[in-house]
Amino acid sequence: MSATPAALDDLLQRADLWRGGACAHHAEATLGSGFAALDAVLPDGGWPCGGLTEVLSGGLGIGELSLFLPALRQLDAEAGWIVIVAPPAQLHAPAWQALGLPLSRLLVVEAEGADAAWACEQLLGSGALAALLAWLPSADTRALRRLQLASSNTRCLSLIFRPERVATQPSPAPLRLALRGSNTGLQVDILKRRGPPLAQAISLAIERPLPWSRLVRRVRPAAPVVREPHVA
Amino acid sequence: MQWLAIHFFRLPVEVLALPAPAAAIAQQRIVAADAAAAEAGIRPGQRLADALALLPGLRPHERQAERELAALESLACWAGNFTPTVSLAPPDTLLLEIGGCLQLFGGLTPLLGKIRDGAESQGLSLRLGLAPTPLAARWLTHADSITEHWQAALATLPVEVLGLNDAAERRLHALGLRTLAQLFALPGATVGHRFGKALPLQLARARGELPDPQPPFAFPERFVQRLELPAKVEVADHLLFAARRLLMALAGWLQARMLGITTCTLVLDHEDIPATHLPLGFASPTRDAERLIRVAREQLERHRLAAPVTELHLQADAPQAMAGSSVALFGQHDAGNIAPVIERLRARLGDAAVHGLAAHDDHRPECATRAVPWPEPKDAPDTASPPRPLWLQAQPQSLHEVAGRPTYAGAALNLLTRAERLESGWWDQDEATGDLRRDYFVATTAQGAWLWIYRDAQGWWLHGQFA
Repeated sequence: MSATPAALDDLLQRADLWRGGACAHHAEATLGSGFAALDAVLPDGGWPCGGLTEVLSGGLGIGELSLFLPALRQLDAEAGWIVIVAPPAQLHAPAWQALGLPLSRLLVVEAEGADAAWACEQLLGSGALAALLAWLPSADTRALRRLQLASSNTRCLSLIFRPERVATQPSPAPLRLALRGSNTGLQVDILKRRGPPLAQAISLAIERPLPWSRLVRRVRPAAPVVREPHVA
Repeated sequence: MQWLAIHFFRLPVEVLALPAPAAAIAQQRIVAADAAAAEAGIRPGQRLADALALLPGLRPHERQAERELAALESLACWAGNFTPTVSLAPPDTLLLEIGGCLQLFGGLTPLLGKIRDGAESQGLSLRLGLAPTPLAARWLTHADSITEHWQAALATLPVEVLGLNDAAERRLHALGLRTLAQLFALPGATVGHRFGKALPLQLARARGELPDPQPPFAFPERFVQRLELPAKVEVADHLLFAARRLLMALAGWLQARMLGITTCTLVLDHEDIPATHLPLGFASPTRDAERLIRVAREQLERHRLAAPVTELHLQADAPQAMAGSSVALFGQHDAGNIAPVIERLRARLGDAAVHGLAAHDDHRPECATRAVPWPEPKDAPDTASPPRPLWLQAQPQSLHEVAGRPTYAGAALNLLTRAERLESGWWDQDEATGDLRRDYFVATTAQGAWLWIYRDAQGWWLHGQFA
């Protein structure tokens, strides 16, 4: 007698069977991003706590931090410290406070180059961090791999901010995002995730000092004003 | 009462810290030999000539009793890590009452493990003895076995542990008395008659039949310890081993006195030039030996010696009261402490490189943020204010004006708000930031970056980014 073939549904439940269209599921903790459209495409439905998230952004001011504000606000005192390593500019304390980030659990580490990567590794090793925000423009693959290892043992939201141009370089970070500013919202392009590649960027209406509608309304009349002097 | 005797049986040679094989000698006889020499057959009591015949490479050095005593006192401080009740039994034994602290360390085995590790990291050999009476514990170090049946173990010890003079020992042997069990079997009066009145009293104290109070070691009021180096040290890295002994003693002293420190000073003495002071700083009060050593290592690794070092001092600056830690209830444990890692970062990057932030009440953006060494525990209440950027440029960046509008990277900026006038600061003119008169705007670039710019008498400036 031949054995009855296993039902397809049963097969699909197997942990060792992976379908090309699905994201890998990990037991790691995640932190909701606060954007339903983003949660839907992130593996495990949120920012990973443990493991690096590499954020490639075009410049300062496009909303590279505001994207993570909803997640950072969820971190309570129990979760641990928020540490900023090698910030690209000075932190304006009243603004951080007004946006709901607790200054009482925030530490800033000023370091450069290899020292910054070393500091990140030490901090991740302490296990006392809830979130690490580090600017490592010149870190090489080896340094990033060390950080990825250090971070994978923690429950820390580890964000590594790097310039756009490194997008073509290989990276050990399991999640890589490229951010671009626009007049309608922040364009988040997921370059790499544990799952199939995404075809297009997601536009998110992140928190801005003024409503997004103000921007759209003001842009249109402004355009001809710029061109006129050139024509003349 | 549970007395733990720690017998540093190689202390005379180990305080000298000579390269192996080495031995401490007194009156041309070996007092103690290090592990390498002992392996070659060098025994205490041997004549120096015999020892040199056995091992021509042996480095003998006259024993230095006062250094041994200083080392023993330093070790007594270190023992403060484990129990507050420490007694010295010179020349080379410490007595620790550990009955009261077993619970804290999770039992005897973990405690003994800590003691052995601590001694090993200081390069010291030890033998342990455990008994309810201090004298029995001292004698049991001879066998170096920790057993519950201490009385049985005591009975099997040879009579040499009593430390009698040679004549008395010969008489014991002549009577066929080789172990304590045989001596215990004799009536006390007879023993006293033959070997002096002290012996039966000693035997009774060891068995707990007579009280045997021990003078407690008085932990010094101020911690200043010095350590003479065996040879001049020219590389700062190599000082760590010696510094470790001092730091472990400091940790024990702090523990015993319920203190913590935020700074201490390691003083390196040179031969000709004034001493170097290396301050060790800690983010929060501590008495954790690991933390002390880690910061010292960072400091020493990065320090370039001005001259060879002959001696080390360690002094605790301004110790402050610090409560003890309790054993966790229901297996809870804290999520890891950030203070040790902050110290490590500060030791390498400088104190100012790691800081917290505090918002300061000032309208001038430059003055609204203060760097504080450690974040303030309470967040100030939020006050509603016009939008402020997360990033602020340390130096405002000049923007070109084209056709009455500011430009950024060659493209015109899009102003989204009306001017917000900030005019403040006449009081510290010429001293600090000074008087400002600026109109602030929120602006966007064509690339979608949100900037905070202002206009003053000199023109347009980029001051921050809404990240």
